[in-house]
This record gives sequence, structure tokens and C-alpha cells, in this order.
Amino acid sequence: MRPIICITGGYAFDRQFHSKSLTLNKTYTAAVTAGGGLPTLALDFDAFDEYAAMADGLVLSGSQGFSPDPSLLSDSLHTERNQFEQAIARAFLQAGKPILGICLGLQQLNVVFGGDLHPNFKLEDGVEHMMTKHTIETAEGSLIRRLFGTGFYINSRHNVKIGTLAPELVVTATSPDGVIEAFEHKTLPVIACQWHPERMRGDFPEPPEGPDMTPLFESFVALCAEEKRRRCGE
Amino acid sequence: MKPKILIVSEDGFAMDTGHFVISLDYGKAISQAGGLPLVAFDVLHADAYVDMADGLFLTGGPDMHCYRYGEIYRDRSEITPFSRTRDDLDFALCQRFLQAGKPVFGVGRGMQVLNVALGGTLYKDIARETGSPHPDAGAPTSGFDATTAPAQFAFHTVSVQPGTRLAGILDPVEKVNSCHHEAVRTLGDGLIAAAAAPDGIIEAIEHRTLPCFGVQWHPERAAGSLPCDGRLFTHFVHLCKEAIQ
Repeated sequence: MRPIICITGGYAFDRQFHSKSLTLNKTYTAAVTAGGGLPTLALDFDAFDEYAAMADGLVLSGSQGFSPDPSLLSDSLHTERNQFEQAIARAFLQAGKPILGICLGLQQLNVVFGGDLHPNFKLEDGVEHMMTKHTIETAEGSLIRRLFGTGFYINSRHNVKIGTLAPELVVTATSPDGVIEAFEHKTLPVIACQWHPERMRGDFPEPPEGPDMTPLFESFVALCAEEKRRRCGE
Repeated sequence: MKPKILIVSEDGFAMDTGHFVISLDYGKAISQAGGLPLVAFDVLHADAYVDMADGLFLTGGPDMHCYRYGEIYRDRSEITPFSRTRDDLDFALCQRFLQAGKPVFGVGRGMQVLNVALGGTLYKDIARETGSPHPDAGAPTSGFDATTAPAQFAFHTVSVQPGTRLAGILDPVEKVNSCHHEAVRTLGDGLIAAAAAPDGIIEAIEHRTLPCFGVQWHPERAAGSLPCDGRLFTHFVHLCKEAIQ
């Protein structure tokens, strides 16, 4: 029985009727599937407790959205999504179920645990982390290092970085210009990365210099299965 | 515990762009009726999705490929964009939920999938094949374009067939929105027509014995002066609750 992995989506508007929708890149569902999970999407923003009760793990996805009319994707929708993702993260934490945060998901988790964010850091730091690639250095003892080694290229698609890291979190990867690129929780089954591992799989890894990230999803789904066994007392 | 309602994901803003997109109208309609909406993605896990959920909701969307009901396109002009992965997922889930005796509710394309999954056939183009100018706002069937102004719904009435299950839920005559150019031609095994438009186009179907039904219109969507209609969703979630017990 595959662990059920709940994924969050981004706001979108369909082209035909401009009706409010959620969208998810197929790279996420394909990666969860490759990792051994059964992907599903949380569609009701009030039902976070129910999703936490029925699923075995949570993937907080990166920011994405689509609108044929930019005015439809207002700031209030971003606020709605942030509130929902932080609420569903808390619900999964309370249920003792694993969470994988990707890009925006990493940022949401840092906020949930009490850290803060640094938007548009490129303006102050003078570094580019949007639509590029760069190397990272992993921390000893981390899952990321066990799976992929001490240093490698990853994709980079973000304008916001972690400001203050929440005290319960441990840095597991850093960029050469000092951006926190991954963390784990000290005790809880929570892992997160600032890059997009779901876009680094199969025949079209992005960047081509990076490792295939399927093992990260295998490890996450295995963690979900392990926690499930533990909960069921096996 | 709320019944878990599986909603089939839609392919992209245009087909094969690598995204899933799912209207929140569907989720809201399921939630307000007391269900927990969940989205299905991958045909390779059809069996696992049947185990996971208590009922299946088939959404609207582009035309299915006509080979599903035994036809081929003889002329290029007949071909509308279709998604093989969406067709695969819809049909695999519909057949498995029916086999498992779990409730299925389809709207728009979803009703057509239910009909074809049970052996029925479709008109590929109502106007061309029946001669009826069935009210439709001219939903784009090709060339989805971000700059296209949103289409408006057309409306017409439907007469609900007395004695059907849907007659216990809907009024004898209902005003409905209309946004389709395909329609049920022949009914699938065990299905009966539960409502029809004034031009005779079948607008709702239900099964004689299985807990499945569908409507050609979109009750989840507020359109013009018509609010969204929760009655069919309440009925569906009720069927799912019954099926669990």
C-alpha cells in the first residue's frame, strides 16, 4: 500500500471562464510517484485537519500560479495560500506526519517554526538566485549529504530567502553566497530545500550538472511509511 | 468522518503543457455537500485511488477521443484537442469505481465519460449531426488562448423524466447553463435518460441499479443569474455515505 502524499497547489484561473482554480506542475506528482507515494491534492482550504488525518505525508510545493488576467492573482490570494499552507503544515506536525517543503514550502516551514524571510534579497546582496543554477555545500550527517554527497549543482528559482532560521531547524545545505538552501528539523520528520528537486529527475535533469533527485522522494516516502507503521504500532 | 470524494484532475491550461489545473468550484461544491475533496493524478494508481476514496466525481473538460466509443475521425476538421492521459485516467477510474459499487457523478464531459464507459456513444457535434442549434455560448474547442475573453454561458430548460431518481431531487422543469457541443447519442448499458432539453438532447442520465448519474450542465458553477446548485452534490455525497455503511 503506497503512502498517501498530500500536495498543495497554487492559485490559477482557467482560460475559458477565468474561474478560480488550483494548479500543480506534473513534475511534483511524477516525483512523488517515483518515490513510491500516491499523490493527491488538497482542494478545500478549510479541511486541513481532515487531510492530515487521511494522508501519510505532506509536500508543500513551490509558488506557482497562472492567470490570463494578472489582476485576478491578487495579493490576498497569496495571503490565503500562505495561511492555508501554514495551517495544514501545523496539522500534519500535530499528527506526527512527515513534511517535505520545496522552495516556497521551505519558506512556509521556517515561518511555521518561528523563523522569518528576506524578500528580494538580491537587491541588497547583489546575487542572482532566480532562473539560474549554482553549487551548494551540504552539512555532515544530513540526509541530503547521505544521498547526494558534499557538493553539487542545483537549480535556483527564488527571490525570497530565509532571514532568521527558526531555532528548531538545522541547516543542511548552503550556497557559496551564504543562502540557506536546505534544512531539517532537530527532532520532527521535516525536511526542506530551497531548490526544485522535482525538476531534477529522469532524462531531463535541471540543471544537467546536478544529480538525479529521485532518491530524495524515495527517502521522504519511506519516512512516511515508517511513521505510519510506528503510528499503527507495528 | 466525511466521505472522501475523488475528483479527476484536468490537464493544463492548454493540453500537455505539463500542469494539472482543477477548478475550486468543484471542491467547494463537494465540501459544501459534506464531502472531503481529493484530486487524482495518475492512471497508474487507479486501483489505489479506488481504495483511497468513497466516490468519484468526473469533471468537465475537452472532448474525449472518439475511438472510446468505436469511431474514428475521418476528417481533420472533426478533430478537437484531446488529452490521452486525461481520457485514460477518467475511464480507468470510472470503470473501477463502477465495478467496486462506489458512487460516480459526472458533469459535462464527466457525464459523457460515464455514458461511454458503460458502452454508450456520443454526437461529436450536435449542430452538425442533429441539425439542432443547441444553445451553447461557443466554448472554444481549440486554440486555448490566455487573451481570449471569458466565454459566457448559454441557458436552456430541461424537462426531468418523472419516476427517475433525479426527479426526486430536481424540479420537473429546470433552467440550466449550457456549454457543450458533444452530447449523448445512445445510452450505455443500464442507463436511462433522466432529463432532456427542448430539442431532445439528453441532459441527464442515471443508472437503473448502480449509484451513478450525470448531468450535461455545470451545477457547480454560478453563471449569469443562475447560482450554483448544491442539490445534486448533496445527493451524491449522500450516496457515498450510504455506500460506506
